[in-house]
Amino acid sequence: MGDKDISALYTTDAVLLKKAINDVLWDDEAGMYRDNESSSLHPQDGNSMAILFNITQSQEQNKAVSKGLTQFWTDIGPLSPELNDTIIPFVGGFEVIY
Amino acid sequence: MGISSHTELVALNDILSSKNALLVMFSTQDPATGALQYSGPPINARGSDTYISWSLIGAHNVWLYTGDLEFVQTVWTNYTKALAFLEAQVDETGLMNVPESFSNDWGRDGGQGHNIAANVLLYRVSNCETSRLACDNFLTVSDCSVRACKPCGR
Repeated sequence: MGDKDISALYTTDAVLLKKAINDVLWDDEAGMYRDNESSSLHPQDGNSMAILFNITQSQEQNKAVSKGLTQFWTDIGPLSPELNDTIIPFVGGFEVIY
Repeated sequence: MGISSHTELVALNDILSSKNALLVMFSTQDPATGALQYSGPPINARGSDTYISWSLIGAHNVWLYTGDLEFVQTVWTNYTKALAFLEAQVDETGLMNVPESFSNDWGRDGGQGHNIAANVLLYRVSNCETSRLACDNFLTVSDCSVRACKPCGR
């Protein structure tokens, strides 16, 4: 602990990872993140946590993701497309708090 | 850890059970690979990159809410080895490529490969918060937290 080098290393890793996530997984047309580069699915968990944990790079991106997630809303809760459109309170929790 | 550590603090003004749970998770770390388990005893499941990240995020939360440096010092070697296990899965795309064998998560489908959720969680672990944590022992370097977190912005 208290290791300057390791601190700088983790920060560098994080900057590169954030860039890679946006370069590879952002779907500009949908305004959401893809589940992976060959998927057409835009998951509730990854998109909610992308805002919560500061992966997004602009307010416009935040708004697009936030709006995109509303397509999964129902009267009794949001559906998670990454699990057969099931309502998952754990994942909904991240959508609520971002 | 993503929900319960925060709600535990708000509801009970205490985070001891998270700390105890994490000490157990670090105690069952695979000494060869650095991987943490997917669940505690007696089930001791294995094979989830995202849950490894959540354990590390949970450790950060305990430190954040208590300032318990003794806890951090106790698990710091385990923490860095677990993070190294995850970072070794980052490939030439710059993303973590989750192997099938570590793709278990909360029950969702499709956790393997360059999965968005797994990569967002790895970012959360390796971002400025962890750098801050690593910095915490040399606060005499006045620009430490500022410099470490500047690239993360917000």
